[in-house]
Amino acid sequence: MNSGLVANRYARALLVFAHQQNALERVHADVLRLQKALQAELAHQGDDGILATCIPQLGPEVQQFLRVVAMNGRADNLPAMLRQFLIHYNQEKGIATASLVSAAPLPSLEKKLLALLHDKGYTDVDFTTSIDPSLIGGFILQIEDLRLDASLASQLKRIKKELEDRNRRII
Amino acid sequence: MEQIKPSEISEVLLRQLQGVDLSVGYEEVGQVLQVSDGVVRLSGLTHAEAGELLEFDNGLMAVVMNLEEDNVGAVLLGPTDRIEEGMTAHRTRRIASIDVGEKMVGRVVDPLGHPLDGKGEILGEKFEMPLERKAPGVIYRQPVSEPLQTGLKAIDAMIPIGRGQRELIIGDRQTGKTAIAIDTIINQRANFEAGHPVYCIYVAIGQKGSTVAGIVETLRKRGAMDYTIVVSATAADPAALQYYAPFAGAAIGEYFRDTGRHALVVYDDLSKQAVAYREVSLVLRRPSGREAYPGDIFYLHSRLLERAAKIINQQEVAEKMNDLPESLRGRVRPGGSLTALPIIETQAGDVAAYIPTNVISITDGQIFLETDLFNQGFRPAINVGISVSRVGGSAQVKSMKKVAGTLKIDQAQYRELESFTKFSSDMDTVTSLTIDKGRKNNQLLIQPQYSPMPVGEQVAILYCGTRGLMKDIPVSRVQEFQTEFLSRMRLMHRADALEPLAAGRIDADIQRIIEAVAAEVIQRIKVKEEVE
Repeated sequence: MNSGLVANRYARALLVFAHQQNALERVHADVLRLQKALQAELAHQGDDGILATCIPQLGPEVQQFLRVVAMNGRADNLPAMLRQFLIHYNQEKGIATASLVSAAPLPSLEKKLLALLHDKGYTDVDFTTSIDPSLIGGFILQIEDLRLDASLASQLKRIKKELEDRNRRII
Repeated sequence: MEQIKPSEISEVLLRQLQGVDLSVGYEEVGQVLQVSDGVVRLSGLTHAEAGELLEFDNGLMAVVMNLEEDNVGAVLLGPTDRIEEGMTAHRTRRIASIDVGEKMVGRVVDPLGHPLDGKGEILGEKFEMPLERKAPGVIYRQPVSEPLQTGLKAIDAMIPIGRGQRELIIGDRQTGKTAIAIDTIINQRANFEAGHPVYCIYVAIGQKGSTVAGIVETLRKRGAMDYTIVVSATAADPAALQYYAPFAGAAIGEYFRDTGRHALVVYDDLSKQAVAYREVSLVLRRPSGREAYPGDIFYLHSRLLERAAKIINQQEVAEKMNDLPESLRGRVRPGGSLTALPIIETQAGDVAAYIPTNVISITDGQIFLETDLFNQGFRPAINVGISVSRVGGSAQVKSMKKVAGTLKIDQAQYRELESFTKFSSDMDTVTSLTIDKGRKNNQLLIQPQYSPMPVGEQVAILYCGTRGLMKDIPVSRVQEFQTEFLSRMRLMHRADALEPLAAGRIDADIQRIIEAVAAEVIQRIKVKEEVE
């Protein structure tokens, strides 16, 4: 009924287990790898059996975790558990995730934004950048679930929508 | 060359461009994790509120329904296939609402207020009315005191409906449920012409598009669209829209109610809304109960129907009404009302099913329609024995109350006696008189579709029935008597009989007029019969 509840409990348990085993960083890396493999498997991208080859390479903690999940018949909640684990991990470490999408590479802007985020209290930022020419100009910055859309494409979209709304009466 | 529209003059465009807000700000977003039939789950949106509208990047809207530990469940207000995993939705900080205005009257709209009749945008001043709103509290209400005439003799005489009441229309398929509601809407034409309209809102939920088009056409032909708004969520619309349609109807009705006018809303039908809500709830994985309906299905209907109310007649109290939308501040007028006629379809006459019992217990009475009566030609096919109106009696026109006060009991008595006469052929005079009167009254209560009768005429003809004035003509001549009698009354006694009756007055003079006219008509019928 409440999938979030289940995922949260497993994610917390894995976090505590990783601490007890003194293997937090390894578990974190494993979770990231597993999440990527799972997504590729679900999307049928890449080689067949990508998940099958990934699992034996994982550390003993995550292997143990997968066994418990399978034993309890909660395998369908696995993606949510991994997501929750990463959220808890980031919270514990004080890491904020941020992404920047721009129309062209903007190294100077990246630095400025990083400094800005630092000033705002985000000390450790997991910063990813990507290029999307369809933005035409400007950038989209997303920090956690806040988005700053300063792209030309969305401004044009807004103008178009506004003009359409206003002219609908006349048309 | 492409045609240039007048709206495209540079100056106009410039002015419009100046009005566009290009300032950027942070907005709260969430990513789609999962899409299933009409429902999405999003991660992020940590501060989203229940009932809030979300907007996707492609313009599609959704409403937040579930707030869970790590995700937000929202129902889509558009086609599911336009949403993909990983898409972004942002908060609008608005709760689901509909823009209502005076110019909406006569239009066909969807539950979000967008026109569906191809007549262009709805113009004029608009007021944002939330779809989900708490019903007025007890101190902002007053008892139902004014009648809402349906124009149907059987209802106005025996199951009267008052303004602000909630009266359920229940019955199997093809028993004339919608017909009663449509006739009631058509009958409000007289109020519209008199300058104090009862605004009607017809909400079609999960019906065929062709049926809705037919109803709109019927209303238009009879001049009822001048004061009617049709809200339509057809069977092809997403379950979420079908679920929201009655709330949209209630929100429109509340606009008229809170501005001191009278409104009537017909929900056709709530069983389909319950099915749509069940679908949404099951896809949202809410626990299911009896007949797989979610636990809050009773609350769904009770909170909707509770919004029908008669507002208190004191300005200073009414303007302090609870949960008043911002847009209506300063515009509230006292004394308005919202009457609700919910419709429920039963399966094989089973009123003890889950949804029918729920709605029966919520409403202030029910009009029960039966297939057998319908097939015997008694239309409207109302089963008078189990139909009731719990508050309407106090709102009945005085003359009607006096004339038809005992009609319901008389008819019950007649039915009982008639079932006995099946066993024996000879009976005493009193019994045979009662049976004869009952049969003729039954004939009198038959009324064709789309022909609502003004209240004055109703009282006059029912007077003939309840006083046994038709005892000398055969049952087969009752309809003829009615036509003749009413045309004479209309022609000769409009001012001295029909109008006072409609205003609620009845005295010895009026009774004498009715008796004299009835005697004349009976005499004519008798002569005709002898000739034949």
